Amino acid sequence: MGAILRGTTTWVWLALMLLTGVSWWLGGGSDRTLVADPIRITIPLMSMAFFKARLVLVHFMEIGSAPLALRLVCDAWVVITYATVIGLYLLD
Amino acid sequence: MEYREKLANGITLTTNDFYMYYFVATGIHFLHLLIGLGVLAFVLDHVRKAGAKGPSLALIEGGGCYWHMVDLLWIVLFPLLYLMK
Repeated sequence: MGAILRGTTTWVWLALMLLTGVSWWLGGGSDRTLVADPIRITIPLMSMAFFKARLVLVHFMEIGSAPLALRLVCDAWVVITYATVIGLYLLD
Repeated sequence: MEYREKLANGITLTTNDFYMYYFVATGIHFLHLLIGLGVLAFVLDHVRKAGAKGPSLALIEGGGCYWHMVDLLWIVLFPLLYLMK
């Protein structure tokens, strides 16, 4: 039990699960109809998605302990893709 | 699968732009998933047949990393296709 709680893996996993739960609830899950302004829901939702993606990249794919060049490329991907999605969404 | 429900209602790749992206993105993702299952089977087989030197750590970690990539893309794709309004 101690080993499970001591490492970062369990906590990162827990964070991912919680974020997924919040996203699911925010996004309407299976059939809940949207009542609020879509933009105010979509922006946090996609932000959480990319934050989760970066968590997976850094902790599970071990980019956190990778050489600087690889870390930069991966972070660049996260930032560029996130900015593109949000940008295109807001432009519409 | 979900595809059945959509196709039964006449929604295909050509229905509109959104569904074009929907089918292409989920289709490519699904294809990578199938490849990943093959990777998993290959790694399992390798581990079982590992000789005195033991299984190749690089192979196991590489296979694991591939799967992380597949689920990472889904973490982004799912909200994009299903939750965004």
